Amino acid sequence: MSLLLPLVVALPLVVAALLAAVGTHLPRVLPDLIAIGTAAAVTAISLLLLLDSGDHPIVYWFGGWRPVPGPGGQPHVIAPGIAFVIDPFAAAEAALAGLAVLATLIFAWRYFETIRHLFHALMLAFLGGMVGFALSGDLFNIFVFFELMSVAGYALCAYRVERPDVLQGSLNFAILNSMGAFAMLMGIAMLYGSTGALNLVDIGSTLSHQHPTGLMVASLTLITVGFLVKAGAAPFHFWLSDAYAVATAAAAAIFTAVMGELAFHVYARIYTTVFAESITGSAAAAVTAALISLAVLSALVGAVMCALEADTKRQVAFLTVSNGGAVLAGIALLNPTGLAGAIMYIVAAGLLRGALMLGLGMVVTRLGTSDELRLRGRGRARRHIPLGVLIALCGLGLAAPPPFGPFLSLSLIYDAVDQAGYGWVAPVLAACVAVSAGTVLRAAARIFLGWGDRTDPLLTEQPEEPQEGEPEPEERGARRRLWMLSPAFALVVAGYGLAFGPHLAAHAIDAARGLQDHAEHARLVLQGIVPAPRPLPDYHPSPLALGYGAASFAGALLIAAAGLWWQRLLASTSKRLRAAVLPPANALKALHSGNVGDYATWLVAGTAAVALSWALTLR
Amino acid sequence: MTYYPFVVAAVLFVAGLYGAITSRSYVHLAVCLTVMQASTYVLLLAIGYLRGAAPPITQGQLPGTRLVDPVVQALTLTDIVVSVVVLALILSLAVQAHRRAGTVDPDKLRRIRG
Amino acid sequence: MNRRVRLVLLMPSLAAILGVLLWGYTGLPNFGTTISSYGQFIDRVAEPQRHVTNLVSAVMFDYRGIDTLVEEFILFASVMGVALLLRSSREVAEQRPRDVVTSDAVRTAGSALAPVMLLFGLWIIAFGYVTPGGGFQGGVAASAGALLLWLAGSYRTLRDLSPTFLVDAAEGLGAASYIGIGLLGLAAGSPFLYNTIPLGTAGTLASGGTIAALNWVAGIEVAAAFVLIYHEFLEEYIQTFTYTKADQ
Repeated sequence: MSLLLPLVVALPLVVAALLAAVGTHLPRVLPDLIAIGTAAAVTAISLLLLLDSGDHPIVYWFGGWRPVPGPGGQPHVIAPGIAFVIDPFAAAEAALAGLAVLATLIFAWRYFETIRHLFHALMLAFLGGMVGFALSGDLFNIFVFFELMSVAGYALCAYRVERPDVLQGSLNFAILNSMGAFAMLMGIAMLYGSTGALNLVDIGSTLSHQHPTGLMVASLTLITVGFLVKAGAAPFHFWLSDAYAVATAAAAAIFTAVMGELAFHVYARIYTTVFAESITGSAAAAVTAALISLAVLSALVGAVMCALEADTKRQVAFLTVSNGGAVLAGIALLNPTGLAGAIMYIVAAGLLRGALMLGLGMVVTRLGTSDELRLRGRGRARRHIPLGVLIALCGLGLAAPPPFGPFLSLSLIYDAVDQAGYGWVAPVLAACVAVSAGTVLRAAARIFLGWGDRTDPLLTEQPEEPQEGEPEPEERGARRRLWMLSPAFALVVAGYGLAFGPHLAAHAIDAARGLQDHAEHARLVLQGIVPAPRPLPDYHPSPLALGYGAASFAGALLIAAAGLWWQRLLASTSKRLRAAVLPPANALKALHSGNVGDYATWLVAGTAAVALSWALTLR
Repeated sequence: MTYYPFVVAAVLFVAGLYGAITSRSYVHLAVCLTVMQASTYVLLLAIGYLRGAAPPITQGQLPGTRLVDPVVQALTLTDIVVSVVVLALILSLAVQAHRRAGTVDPDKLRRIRG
Repeated sequence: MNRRVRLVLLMPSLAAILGVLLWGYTGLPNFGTTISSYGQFIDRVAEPQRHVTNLVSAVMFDYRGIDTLVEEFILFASVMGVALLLRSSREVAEQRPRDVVTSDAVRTAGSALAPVMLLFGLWIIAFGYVTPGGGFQGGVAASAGALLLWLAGSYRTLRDLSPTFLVDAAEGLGAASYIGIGLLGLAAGSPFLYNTIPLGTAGTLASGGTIAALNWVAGIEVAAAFVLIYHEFLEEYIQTFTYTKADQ
């Protein structure tokens, strides 16, 4: 195991470097095969790590630098090296990243001709960055992997930069993510200055002895903002809708499936290991309150904007924001059930969203555009049936019907919010799930069945652009082959099936408990003392959660129908309805202006709000 | 004097942020991001400084002299590389903006809305 | 939002952030009074443990070697990104305009300084773990030598003396070799990036074990990466320069 573990990061990076160095001299198919093989290997190793870390997290010290006792008189140990701390959640995230990249590489088989070696090298570097980001246990190491992931992301998003919308999206992506990254780095520097350590567990234990209020507030705010910008939580989410909508399907699939959600997971891990020990009682309640507000805001804004879009890729972008709200709600509760639910939802919904984005990529190539209204009825031919089925399955899955994967994870979150006294959050989340999934179903029905009206004043349409272009004429035939959808179908099956592993929810809650037991975790990481095995908790979704699941599923179907036919059904009152609903809808849309200065202003305003609320309440 | 370098770091951070948000040119914006990044260098190096200590090179030093913190210097070096890299990418995008859209003004470059 | 509204939202928020930052910094130890226990530890043990005298290089290439590995790959990914952004959408590919330097003084001074700069950069890399310097710093200085070739001569001189396939290969192989050296540790049954080469004597060039090797590999990669970035941006500049000149 210790031989394979570093390979999970080293392998994609070394293959990326070699492909970039000699890729132009290799025969046509070889770089694709090598890249696919590497991604498959990373996925396989991550799954092995997942199985291996079931009892207790695996700790791996690079360079052989194990922690040493501090000099005489100092209570704690010093960790001179960098460790990877691999708990089941981290391994699951790494496996998700590997799967997403694998599916995308198969989907993009021989798609990018002229810059093929660059594309594969960037994808593998991106994969290496994501895996390291998920697994690392050192705060500065997390930051550098974050930057690797981001830089590769900016480059991949900017493919086809000659189109103005791609240019704008990439610029917004790069600029806002960089601002978030610098804020994070400032927070990391402050923590280092105060505690003198960079290992997560080390910082946590030192901080719990010290308790400096101002520094805690400032560094927590900065680190929170840094991660939430990447994750796309409101009000830091504006760049996400622009970037995910314009990126080419291959890159956008990975962004929506895994990149943003990884930031949520790593944020949860950092909060639990570094801050949670020092922030207890009413201070913890303040943190929960602030994060829950951001979570609910994300869920609502994401769901509403999703329903108000005509461009399907932008719908998926806002869907990502909305799902992120549910994840953040689970994390915000700071209890094991919520954390377990959040991570499982990241994986389940991520798989479905990745498949959805790949399907939409094929829609653009085969049907010409990504705008739902312009595509009305274009998908009705028989040869488009598998594509329609794929998109419908994604929409149905995202609506969280019991007993499948997304439902199980959401039920953990619903039960957790109930336990923590935030019961009102659960119906809000269920409604948002219904609205966003319903929009996907609406789009699928309009495109593939031709149902619904041809125009809709509520939906924003983007200016007519030649979408995606056809790369080279000789690729046209290749692009339309349906076997390229098979990885997408595999992702859907995995997403649905995530509820059916043995005691999956129980294992997840157990892993979360292990993470939140600070003393035990610290002993494991810093001293290598393996914890005693704990009995597995028991989990079954409560009747309330089942109710919410059924409601969100039914609600999604209703919303889809309403979206398709609201103008006809409400013909008599539609003028008054339009007058009542259009102005607030347009106001919300105007906020998403596409201007980087506006977006950054919201970032700053959000940071100030969080900072001030914590300055007043974190004692 | 014991607090002044931190004030410099904070002011640089906020000034860079202000400049980036109110910028009328992507090139100017990229440089403002560099200023924000510079604030982290100042903070890191200020954290690692020890009065009366020598640089962390033991060549030619008497054994037992106090040295400043080498870890922050390594962190700052990594930080500088990251900032250069991001600057290069944003500037490439700005060049493309100038070439394709004829402008580097963020306010004038708006195709996606809502 | 128009600029007025933006400022109204912005200024109080920035003031609040400034305030919270300054409040947070009061939790840091006073400037110049103490350094972290991590730093003190490295100061004390790095030379005896790894036989190098430049402790920053020891931290970068040994204690926190994987940070530097990822940092190299960030540079690598960004160079690919710049190439992707600027190379793939250039209309006129192979037309290398002539931009000859007419001043004798510039040409002489530049030609004299370019090899000096290159040598200086290589020296900084070579002694990177003995005296101040290192792979990254030396790599950038060496790449400045390439830039001097353009200043002294023409863009064509630069491209002829630094052919793309060679620089591309140097960059990719440099990055791959870093991982290769790390894998040596795995092959020897130790963790990744373990220092498996004999350590030698501190203060000489033969010291540090893998630190020396990683230092060189990083230096080559950084120099190649920066030369590639210069190529791309200079080509942009030359194209604009030629077009505007042609318009006059």
